[in-house]
Amino acid sequence: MVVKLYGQITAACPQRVLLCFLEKGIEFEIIHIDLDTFEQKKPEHLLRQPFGQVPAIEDGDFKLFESRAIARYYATKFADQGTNLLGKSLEHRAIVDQWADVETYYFNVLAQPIVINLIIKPRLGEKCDVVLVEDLKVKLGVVLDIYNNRLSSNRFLAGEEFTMADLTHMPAMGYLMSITDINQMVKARGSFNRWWEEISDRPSWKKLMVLAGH
Amino acid sequence: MKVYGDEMSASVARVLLCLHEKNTEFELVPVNLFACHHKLPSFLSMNPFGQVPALQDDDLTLFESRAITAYIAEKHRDKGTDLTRHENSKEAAIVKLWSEVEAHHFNPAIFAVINQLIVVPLQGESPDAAIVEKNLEKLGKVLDVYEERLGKTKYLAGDTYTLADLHHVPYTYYFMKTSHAGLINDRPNVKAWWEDLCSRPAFLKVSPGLTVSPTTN
Repeated sequence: MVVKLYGQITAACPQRVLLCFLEKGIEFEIIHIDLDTFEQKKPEHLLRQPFGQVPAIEDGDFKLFESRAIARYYATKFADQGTNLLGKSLEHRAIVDQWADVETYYFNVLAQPIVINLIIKPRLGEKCDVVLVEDLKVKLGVVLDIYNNRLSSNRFLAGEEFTMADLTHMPAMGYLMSITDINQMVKARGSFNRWWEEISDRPSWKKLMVLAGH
Repeated sequence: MKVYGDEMSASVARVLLCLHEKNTEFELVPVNLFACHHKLPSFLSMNPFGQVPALQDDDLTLFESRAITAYIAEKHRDKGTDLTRHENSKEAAIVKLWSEVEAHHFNPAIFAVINQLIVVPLQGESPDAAIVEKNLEKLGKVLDVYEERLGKTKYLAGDTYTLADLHHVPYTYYFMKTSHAGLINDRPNVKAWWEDLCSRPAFLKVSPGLTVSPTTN
């Protein structure tokens, strides 16, 4: 039985789960939920995800939503297969968790509204909040400086190996790099840019981009 | 274990609740938030984002309160309350799921309200009523989902108390001091859940430290 992922392959949160599947060599089936027509808000999908978002998974009788919880479950279930995404010792796992939480509380809170305003809203014909975006970019610069410093003495966020802490950033980074100003902000930070170039060179990312139609 | 922070900080309280649930000894090292000691180089060397708490356990230094609670719960998995359902990977995933719901759906809305009603006045500014109203509406929708969930299970991740519930406690405690406590009290399942969380011995040890109050509502 193959795990079913309900979502849109171009959306960031389903991509987080797909990257985990690709890193671990886990077979999956994507069942398309069309975000342009707001299928995620319809009753059938609300039964899978009560907040009306993607992704959700069904694996036999087991159901789960929240992309980071899904990724973590599969990284744990298939701990001995593919890339070790969780960390080795208890202490290393804690550092992985720490930087994964940084993605939620410092990075995503800025990246998500930037992507929504500069990429999603134009697609839906809605107006971008220009003032908000400028403020977010300034804050993002401060955060990226901290990352740049961290990555100047660590190959990856949690140490010398690629883990969930790095993976969880990738979908939003993919979108941010398509925005000229942000692309320049990344390139201006040597260690951060080095990290992005290395992780976006991984086979899992390249495969994902092909699947997403790039 | 040393926890660097101040008891009135919700994020610090999150870690203290976990330590008490696990009957783990610790030392709370005070960090004066009003004097901005969390922005000094000595603290930034522990958390480059300049926020409390930070944890030191032998040569491990950690920040991010929910990474710290996960570490404590894992290190001391065999004592105190089982906060992660670690023996069953599917149940553990459900704990993670509802922990993510707290992080991504509940926390942004409730924090925005607490920030306007408690933190902003402490900085000598006036609360933004539009931000409060917008986030109360968002929080209400999240609590509608919780109301339905807690009609089926006693706690968010199932029938036992876990980190998924614990992470909600400090900001909810502050929220209940505002004039908007009705969002909780008007939802019977959510109200019963909250009252249960407040009855736990760990809560009774930590809540006296949560001393800040809203100056306006």
